[in-house]
Amino acid sequence: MYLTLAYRNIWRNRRRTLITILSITFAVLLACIMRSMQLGSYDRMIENSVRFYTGYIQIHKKGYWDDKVIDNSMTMDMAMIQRIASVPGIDTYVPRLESFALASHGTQTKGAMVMGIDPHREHALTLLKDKVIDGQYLTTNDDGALIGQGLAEYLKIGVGDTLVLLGQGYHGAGAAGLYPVRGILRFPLPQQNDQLVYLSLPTAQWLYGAENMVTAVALLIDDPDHTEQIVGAIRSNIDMAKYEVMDWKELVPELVQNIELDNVSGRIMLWVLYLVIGFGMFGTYLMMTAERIYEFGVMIAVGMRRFRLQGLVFLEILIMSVMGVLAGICLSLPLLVYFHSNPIHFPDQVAEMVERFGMEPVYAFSLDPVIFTNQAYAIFFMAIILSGYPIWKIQRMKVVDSMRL
Amino acid sequence: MLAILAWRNVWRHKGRSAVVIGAMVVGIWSLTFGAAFMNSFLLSYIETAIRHEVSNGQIHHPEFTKDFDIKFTITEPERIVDFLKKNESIAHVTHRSIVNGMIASTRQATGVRIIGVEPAEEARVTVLDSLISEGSYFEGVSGHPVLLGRRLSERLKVGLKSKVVLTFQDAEGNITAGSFRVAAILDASSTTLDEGSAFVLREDLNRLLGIGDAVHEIAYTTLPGTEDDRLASEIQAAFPNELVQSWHELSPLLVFMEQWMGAVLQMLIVIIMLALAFGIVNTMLMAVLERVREVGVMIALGTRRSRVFMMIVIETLFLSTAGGPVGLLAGYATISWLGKEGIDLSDYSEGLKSIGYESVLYPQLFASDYVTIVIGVLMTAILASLYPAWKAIRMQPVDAIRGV
Repeated sequence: MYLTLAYRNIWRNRRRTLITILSITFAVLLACIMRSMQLGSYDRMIENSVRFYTGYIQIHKKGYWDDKVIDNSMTMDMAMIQRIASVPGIDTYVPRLESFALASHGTQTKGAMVMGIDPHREHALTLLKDKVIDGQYLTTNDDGALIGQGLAEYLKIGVGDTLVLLGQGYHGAGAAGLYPVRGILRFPLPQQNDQLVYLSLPTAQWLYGAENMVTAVALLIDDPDHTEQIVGAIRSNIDMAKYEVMDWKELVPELVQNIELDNVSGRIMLWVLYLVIGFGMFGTYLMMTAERIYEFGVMIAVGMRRFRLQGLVFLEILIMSVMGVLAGICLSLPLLVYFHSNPIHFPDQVAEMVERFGMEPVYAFSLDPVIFTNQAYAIFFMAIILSGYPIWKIQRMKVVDSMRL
Repeated sequence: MLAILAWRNVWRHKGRSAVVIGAMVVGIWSLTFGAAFMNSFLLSYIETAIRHEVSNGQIHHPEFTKDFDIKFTITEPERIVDFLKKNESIAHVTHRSIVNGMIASTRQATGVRIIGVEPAEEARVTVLDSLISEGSYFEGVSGHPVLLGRRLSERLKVGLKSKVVLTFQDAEGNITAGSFRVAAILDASSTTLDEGSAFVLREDLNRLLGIGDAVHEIAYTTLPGTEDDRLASEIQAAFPNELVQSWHELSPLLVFMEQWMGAVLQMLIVIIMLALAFGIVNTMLMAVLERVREVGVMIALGTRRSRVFMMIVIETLFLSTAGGPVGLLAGYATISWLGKEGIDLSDYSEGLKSIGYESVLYPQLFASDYVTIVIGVLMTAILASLYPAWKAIRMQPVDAIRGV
């Protein structure tokens, strides 16, 4: 009975109802846009540093991550690797042998990170081949080197010149070798651009006297959201006394912290938005109550109990909130899908600066379903809380005054 | 006349006016607060970088910054230092020798920038001594002291008084090495300081490099309120053979941060402004439609529609301008208070430090930001009043008077 009454009341004054619903719809829409932008930028940050550098999951010899020395490298156990690669969700594995060396050419010398890689597999994970700006990419058993652009400029070395690497090998063996430069790589991040030297895996193993050894196996997985399950599956498949399996959250804790930190300011801005939205919605409710105060007075005068009237008004607001929230989601979904595939570009002068630091100069949007559910809940909750005002007003109103008009 | 009418309308319905004014107050308050909070991240980052790393300006041989080749030293450093010390905008000056090399402990080796400093002057310019978490400032060890960042010391697995070997090329191009002892460990928020730098005495470094008393870098700090770019070009004009750079040029990363944060903040402010506008439109729309009969009567009596339109716009303006100053004051008060107390984010400070922030943030807003926000909100209010006003004059007086 009440439901019918509430429903009829809603449609009795379409204009008023539409404005109320619209204010809720718009609130959901704005909250979704804001949150989607924030989460979208985190996705970008993760993708930039995880997808193109560490990989989502890495396996090392136990203890390697805390003490990254070549002595903590592990044997490339093909049986073990096959077992891991057969875990569902893993696209491919990427072996690496990473260590420090002095790189020198002519009279210039500088510290460098030397990465021994399987050129083919490495490209599958980090798209390394696309970073070659001069010369050629490595072949599987190449005896040459790729070098970061910044480091190359410092060493004044070009394609075809010979690079000298000098360092410490496995179990204290001396490591020294001459490598023709095959290509120059450009990385957006200075610490990569100024530091990295790539060799093919066999060449690096030879340099460090670490035959058939690697320091890490990075995994390319098909869906980052499945990281946890995959890590679990790997852990149950290998000897955890000998190896350690780490996901990107452990591999780049600074990134996780950065995101959490940014999330703090993001949340504060979101609350600011809620506050403004809340006031807008409150204004609508206030007007609605003021408009209907005469009607309420009549209802009470003819004998309706106040709490029933309150229940009725609450029911109306509930129906309108549900409609508003649903409409809001229906509106924001296509909008966000559009922005997700066509992100908004930064203004030009900012874009140039941002690009130099390896970030895409766009406002990225996320389509995580959590955005919609959370914002819908938040706004719905707010709409319901605000219904306290008309209910309070009905409780307090004087029937005679309200009907005097 | 219209203004008087609008003014009376404002007072005729106090509840409604209070909501619109309230929305303005909350809107302006939250915009100022949000902007100041985001600003505090940026300022903290820039201030930390200027204070501990780049200083307000630096002078090098024009070729030196390209690849840190030690042969590019500053000619007549004393003359430059004297000149800088006489300049009244400059607070402190120091000079350094710099070489890129390798640092090795018994466990590990890694690339590092070795910076030879004059301890007393350095403490005044970069407050290097304030970063010490353990040990003492170039003291307390037998042999040559070296100061390392926390992360670098962890990577090398060295503690206080441990021996480290620094290896680099000397002026002749020969690889030389010197052994140093860790005198202090620094807790720096910047990654460069934390894991990429080793500070030694300039006399020790110069002796190993074999470059006599040569200087690679002069850094200076300026007094608050100095225009660093202009000062840099003044100094540049006095010493055309050297390269003088203000922090803007020295650290493109800072400029990048400035721009990136600015772009993000702009977008957030636009979203909040939209929300504010929608709130005002809704409330005003309801307010206008509630007065259908009244407006209908006005039109029927012969008031020109354009005047009714103006009346409603002026009404909204009254409401907005009433809310503006209050919101601004509230925002200013909040920001001043938090600017003094600071917002402690030390729960997140590992992340903060790794990207170069201090863990207590002090929200701050410039006068120009206040002006932007006020203008933005007023524009929003005016735009938001247009639709209800337009809606009001579109009514047919006959229908309107007949009743709701």
